[in-house]
Amino acid sequence: MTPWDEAAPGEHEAEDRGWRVVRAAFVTREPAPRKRSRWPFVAAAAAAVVAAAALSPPGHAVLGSIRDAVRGEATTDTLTSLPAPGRLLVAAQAGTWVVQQDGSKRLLSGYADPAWSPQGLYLAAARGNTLVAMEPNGRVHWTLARSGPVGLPAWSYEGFRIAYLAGQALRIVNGDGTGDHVLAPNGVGAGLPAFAWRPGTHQLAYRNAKDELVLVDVDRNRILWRRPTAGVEQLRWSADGRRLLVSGGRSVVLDPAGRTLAALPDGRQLPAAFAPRGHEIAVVTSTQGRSTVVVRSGPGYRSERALFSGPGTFGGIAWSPDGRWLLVDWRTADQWVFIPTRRGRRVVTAAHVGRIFDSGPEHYATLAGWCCP
Amino acid sequence: MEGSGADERAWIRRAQEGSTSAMEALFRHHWGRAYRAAYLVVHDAAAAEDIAQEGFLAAVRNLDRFDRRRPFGPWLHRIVVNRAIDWARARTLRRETGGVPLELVAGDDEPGNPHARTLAEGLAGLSPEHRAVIVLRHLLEYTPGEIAGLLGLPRGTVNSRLRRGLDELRDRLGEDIR
Repeated sequence: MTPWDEAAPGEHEAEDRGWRVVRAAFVTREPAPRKRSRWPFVAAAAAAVVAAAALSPPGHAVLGSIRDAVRGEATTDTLTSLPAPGRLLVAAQAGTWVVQQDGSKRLLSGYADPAWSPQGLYLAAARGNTLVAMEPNGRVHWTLARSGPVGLPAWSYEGFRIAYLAGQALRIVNGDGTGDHVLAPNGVGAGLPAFAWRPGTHQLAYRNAKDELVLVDVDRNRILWRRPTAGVEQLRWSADGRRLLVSGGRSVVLDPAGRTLAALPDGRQLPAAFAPRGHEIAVVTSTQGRSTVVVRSGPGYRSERALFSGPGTFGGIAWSPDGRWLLVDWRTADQWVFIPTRRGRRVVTAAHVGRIFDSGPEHYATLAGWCCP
Repeated sequence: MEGSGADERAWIRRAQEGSTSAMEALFRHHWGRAYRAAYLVVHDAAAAEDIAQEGFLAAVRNLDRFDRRRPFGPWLHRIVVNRAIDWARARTLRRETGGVPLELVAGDDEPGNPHARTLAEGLAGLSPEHRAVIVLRHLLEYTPGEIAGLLGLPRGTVNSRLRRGLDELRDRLGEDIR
């Protein structure tokens, strides 16, 4: 027996879990060439998913949403429209897709890591070692070539600055492509390239190579505070710039001075996003192969509302610009799930996301932002 | 790797006709190598489970379009390995362990598995692209030409990645892993 024949850690334990998920998908699939009634499949899907939900937390609170999600009339084969005003950015294998509210889509071929400008008039994206600012129709306004691969551009609140990575360096460039300079030579280091602009300011929070969380005034090149941290995977500011969500490891909410306002419960709380207004946070929690979308709010974020649950992985989450919907990338099911945040509306799903964005089965289509009516 | 020939073709045909037992046979036959391939590229048990599982889900979604005269394994492995490379590249950028060396993460899962740990630790120092070609060559036993086809690479690139990757792996492990 060679080392290649040895089972990998977790291989056997994962097999039965994997088969349960694959079996559920298999019995609910819709064979392409045969014309059959949808109802047996819909009923089977409902049975499988509802049974799964009933057997595990969060249980009954979630069941209503899941029942809605699998009802035939609320399920679409393609992404025909968005349930709320705004436009989506999607990163796929072929490039960046811009999706309008009416469901029409444009491919910006070859561009990766897209990010909306604050008003959605422009987007920044990466193409190899080049940072590009363009209009959503593909008209390029400027390009900036660096020596290493560039990625993860992020605009400041009014679009005057863009932070991005070039190789290991965290760099800043003006919104018109001028004034490019290094902010941190090693903005990745041994940890995450997590960074986020504080709304209303030119202050950037980022995790540095020493495993510290730093808030820096970019224009004055002055560090406002720093604090030790570990395991940070994502940083998000509330829209008013008064709270900073630090996700990964033990997720915490900080005030602008870097003081802890609240610690979220133990366990993975990713991805996460602040509501477009106020201080509510939507997070994805994962346990025992299931993912659940929870909205946390109130003092200490102790109040939680479970909105949706399903087996497998939720790869991304985004609030609609009006705050009335949450879009969840249910990667395991190859579906997008639009979840109403208020009562009275149904969950809407878009199936076959990989096919819609022509990612092929070999790569993911990644949600990159829902912006601007 | 071509699975079990006639058996596999029969499983696919019956699965296309809706047989759950045939789908299960196909799943059980291919799970181990799909999972192991993903694990040896990403070095994270949870991610490997997701990637292998999603590979099979992609297979289920595309089952009706699958040409059952062709072997299932290469098609599944193309999905799994490409997704694993995507995941590992993203992780290389993000380094989500916060300074913990990758090999320690790989070793957390099952201490009683010395061979796999050693192999995983050795592979952990290579780039995702080098890991992938080595896994495809030595775990899944594809020829360099087949690997070139699976990954969409020139054959010369596959050969050079194999050579450099194996040299580095040999240096790390102090032995020939082939």
